Amino acid sequence: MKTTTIKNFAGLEYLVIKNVPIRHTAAGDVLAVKRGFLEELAAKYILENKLPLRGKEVKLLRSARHLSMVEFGKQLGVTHNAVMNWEHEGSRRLLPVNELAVRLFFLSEFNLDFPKSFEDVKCYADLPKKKVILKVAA
Amino acid sequence: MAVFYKIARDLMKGNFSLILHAEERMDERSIFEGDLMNVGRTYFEKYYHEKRNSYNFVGYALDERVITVACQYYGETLIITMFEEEE
Repeated sequence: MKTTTIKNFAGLEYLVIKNVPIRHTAAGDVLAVKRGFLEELAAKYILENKLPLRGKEVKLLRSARHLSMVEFGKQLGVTHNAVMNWEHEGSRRLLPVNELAVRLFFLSEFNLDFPKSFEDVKCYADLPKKKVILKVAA
Repeated sequence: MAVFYKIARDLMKGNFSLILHAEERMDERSIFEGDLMNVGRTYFEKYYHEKRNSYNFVGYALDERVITVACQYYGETLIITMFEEEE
């Protein structure tokens, strides 16, 4: 099966997804996997590797769960304007307390391992300096 | 009319394939699959685009931005492309 590479996936400058299956149609080449599958792959990588959460990452995480800003804000106990502000400043990192809350919420949403201690969930990391390459399993 | 309803239903259920160009657009504009599905639920305008031979839906993304998706069936597959209104 033909595959392609997607650079800057979801507008994240460090994220590359390789081995994405495509198929040819009369309209041109189309993704042979659901885009939602790729979004979930990227979202889980961000959470599991404790990457810093900026507006762009929040948007990916929220969208991968098909949550509107209002729904997400309600779940988190903030207004949708707060969510809008985070996402609008796409390259600005969230305040630590907000980052913690968002991270915990999505760890639960994606059924990922929950941290055993406060230290485990804190994130001091910077954004990846090199490209992060994810591969779709054959 | 029946075609519009069928497309809207497929759109909101996520039964579509994305053309590669649309995927690139989505990355540039931070649009996600859920946004496209939401257009199927919230569209307030729909029209047939003769030149492109596509059924176009204008509706809301999950962040309430207005986006347009262009849809065409090729056989049973609904193919989604995206374009700016002025293009």
